[in-house]
Amino acid sequence: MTDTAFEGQTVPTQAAGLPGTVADYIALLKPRVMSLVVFSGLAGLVVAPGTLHPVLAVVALLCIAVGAGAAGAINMWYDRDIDAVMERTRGRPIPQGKVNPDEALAFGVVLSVASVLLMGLAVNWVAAAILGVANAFYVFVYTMWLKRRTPQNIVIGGAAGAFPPMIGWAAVTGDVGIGPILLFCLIFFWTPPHFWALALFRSGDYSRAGVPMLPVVAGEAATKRQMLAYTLLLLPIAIAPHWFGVGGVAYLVGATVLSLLFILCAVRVMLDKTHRAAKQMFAYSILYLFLLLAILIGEKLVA
Amino acid sequence: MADTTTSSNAPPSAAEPVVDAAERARRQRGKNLALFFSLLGFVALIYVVAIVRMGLHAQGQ
Repeated sequence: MTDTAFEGQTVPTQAAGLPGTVADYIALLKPRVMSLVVFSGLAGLVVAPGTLHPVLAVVALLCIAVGAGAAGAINMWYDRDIDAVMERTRGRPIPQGKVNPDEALAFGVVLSVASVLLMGLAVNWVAAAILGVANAFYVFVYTMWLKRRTPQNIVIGGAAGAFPPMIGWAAVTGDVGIGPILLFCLIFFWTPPHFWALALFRSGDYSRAGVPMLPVVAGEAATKRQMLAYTLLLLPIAIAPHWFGVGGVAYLVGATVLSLLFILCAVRVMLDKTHRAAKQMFAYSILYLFLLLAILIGEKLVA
Repeated sequence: MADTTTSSNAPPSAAEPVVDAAERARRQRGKNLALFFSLLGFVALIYVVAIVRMGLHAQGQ
């Protein structure tokens, strides 16, 4: 039984006729990606001026988590053909035949709508609207439009992942000011070097799947130059929250040191003939964002 | 009287593995329980949110 074919490969819809397990449905929600999304949403919640009842704050984070997971499930439904071709993604539940594609789509749509409605009813409709826009952007703009068409896919599509701090902030204040826009910019400009580091050592995967990632289309040298440019741009953007009162002195020092190390990673990637430095930069990029947000949260909690 | 309805059927091919009925039932039960507890949690969440919001409303927030 096959669902789709891609360059001679077939995608089974349901292995051995067995229904998927609960773990397979959880895997559809991309829990690892979800964890960073929730953490960035928490940062927005904590640093926003004002207070939110703890129960409503938990509900807001739950909605961000479920909304992000739902968008991930719809992404897996749409990309099931290329996921089956790529080594990194062929273990996902749909290419493995553990979950029927139609069920994955229904699962994603129901959770996405439910998360937006719950956010609106429980917290406020500004946060709900941004959550809805973030989900729609990830599914329609990034997944369906940009991903297979342009090497700038993750540059523009990166906006989808940059919304969570804005959602967290809006959950507290009910509006969007300069603070959440700066946090949005931080993640927006962090995304390209993060994904291009991955694409450098997975370019064969993307090439086989026909996804025009920058290393596939423009080559490694051009990608490395772009990565360095983005990390240089990221330095002033990362420290900007301090000048606008979102982060304190600890954040300023932390953001400066971490951003300089990120630039150093990009320089090492440029000089490295193998993919070792790119792998290290990919790992560091996750740590970079986690630590920046952790400093923001810690500083606010201590203050 | 012998059942002749299956005697003429071809044996299952290697491409169609035999489905383990017990495993199928176990997985289905797991999904049913997960859905049950998810819905129960959702109802409880709505209840708690309603109480909290009514409390905030009463305080004029």
